[in-house]
Amino acid sequence: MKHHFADEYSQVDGILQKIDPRIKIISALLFVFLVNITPFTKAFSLIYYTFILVLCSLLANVPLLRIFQKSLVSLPFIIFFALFSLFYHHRQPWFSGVIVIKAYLSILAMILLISTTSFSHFLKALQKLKIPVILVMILSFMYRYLFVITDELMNVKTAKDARTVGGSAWFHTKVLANIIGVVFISSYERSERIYKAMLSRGFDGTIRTLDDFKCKNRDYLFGFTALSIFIIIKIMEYSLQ
Amino acid sequence: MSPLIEIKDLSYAYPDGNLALENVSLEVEEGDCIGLIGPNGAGKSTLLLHMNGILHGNNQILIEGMEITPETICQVREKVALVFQDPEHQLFMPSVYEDVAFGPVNMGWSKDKVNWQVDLALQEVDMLSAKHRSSHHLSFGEKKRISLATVLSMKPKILVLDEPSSNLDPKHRWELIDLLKNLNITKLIATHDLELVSILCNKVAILNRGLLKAFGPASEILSNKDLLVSYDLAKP
Ligand SMILES: Nc1ncnc2c1ncn2[C@@H]1O[C@H](COP(=O)(O)OP(=O)(O)OP(=O)(O)O)[C@@H](O)[C@H]1O
Ligand SMILES: [Mg+2]
Repeated sequence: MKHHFADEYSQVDGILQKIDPRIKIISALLFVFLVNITPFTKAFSLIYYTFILVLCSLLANVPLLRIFQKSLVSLPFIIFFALFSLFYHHRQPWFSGVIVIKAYLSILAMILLISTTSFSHFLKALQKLKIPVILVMILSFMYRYLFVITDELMNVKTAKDARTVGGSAWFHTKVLANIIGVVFISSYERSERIYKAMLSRGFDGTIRTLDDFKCKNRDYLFGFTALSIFIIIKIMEYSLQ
Repeated sequence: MSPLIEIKDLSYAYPDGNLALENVSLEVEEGDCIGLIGPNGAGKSTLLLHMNGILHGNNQILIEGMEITPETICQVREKVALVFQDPEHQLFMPSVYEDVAFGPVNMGWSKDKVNWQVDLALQEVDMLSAKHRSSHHLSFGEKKRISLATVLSMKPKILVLDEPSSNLDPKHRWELIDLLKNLNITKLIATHDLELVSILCNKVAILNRGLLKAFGPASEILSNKDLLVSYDLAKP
């Protein structure tokens, strides 16, 4: 089957991939927070944040174009949101532009975080950061079963295509309706089976992974650098009038 | 001494009312290798799913004299390793390595021990080269071999296999037979591969439409041609 995993760059050799996931998550969240509290009057400082992102993707050996591609999915939502905010800030339409940029930068940061952290480590880091287990579990199953469902859909579609010769558009639409039903039921049953397979290999609801995190000097250095850069940006924001 | 596995009057109906097992009783001694044969839909897979508590029938199954209850289920699953018929149901982690390590990690082993067992298990099924690949992209036979590795890495006491040799190429089928032959643990194998049964198993059970029709020494049952023919297991 063909699909991209969210963490497709987590095994690539890069500096960002080696940083402790907890530090990465906190830095990324801080990044998003700072981007979003940047006042509209100081919107120029968003350029600094853009530079940080570019730098990080270089550190991670991730092609910028790929991150950009991945972010396209979110674009319609952002634009919709921006259009909506036009009514809100009707006097200054460029506010909407700033909102778009802020939202977009936040999403790019999250994509960079997710694609350079192996998903099981990401989950474990969330757990270590005291995110409620139930939320972590939901994320974990969502991720796992997303692929189960796409797989199932592709299987059924292949089966259909293999037996389809001609036929009207209406006929295909009807078949599609059936396929959706079948896929729903079979992926439901399949996820049940997978859960049983997990149980039968000793899964009891706690997420266990092998690599226990230990912050090394490198990680502290990364966290410290990130924090300093953020502070410098904030200072520049307010000193440059 | 009580038998390692004791199945007493097991009946099971699927939620849709399909009665898949009816009063099956079976005893497995330590060191046995039991071949479970029968036509399609006989209930072989259903029986195997009971062995580590994934399905619960009406009556008890005792593993080393221990009932399968919510309290004992963890202990039972450490002893009894089950490989599903369909590898798609067995493999669910992002990479082969993580899948094979899933059981050992859940058993709380140390990192070195887990890594060692994972490499060993993958080597045994000749899939070490695929360690860091994603199991989604492997061939069906390769997935079957990795499925076996996912439980070999747990060092179980009892191995329960559902059609382990289906879809394997001849070379890997023979390697599998050799591997199982050299594995000195109790085995329960559901299969249509009578050659595999005759090489590996000391006892054979025939299941048909949910009923246990015969159970005895392999040589006796496999040489009884009339019996095999009457359950569609051999050419008339
Ligand atoms: N999830 C299910 N829901 C309802 N009925 C089922 C389900 N799974 C299996 N059955 C039915 O239970 C019976 C036994 O099925 P089982 O899968 O145990 O057969 P089997 O002996 O393993 O066959 P095969 O050789 O084809 O693998 C069959 O009649 C089957 O239709
Ligand atoms: Mg079966």
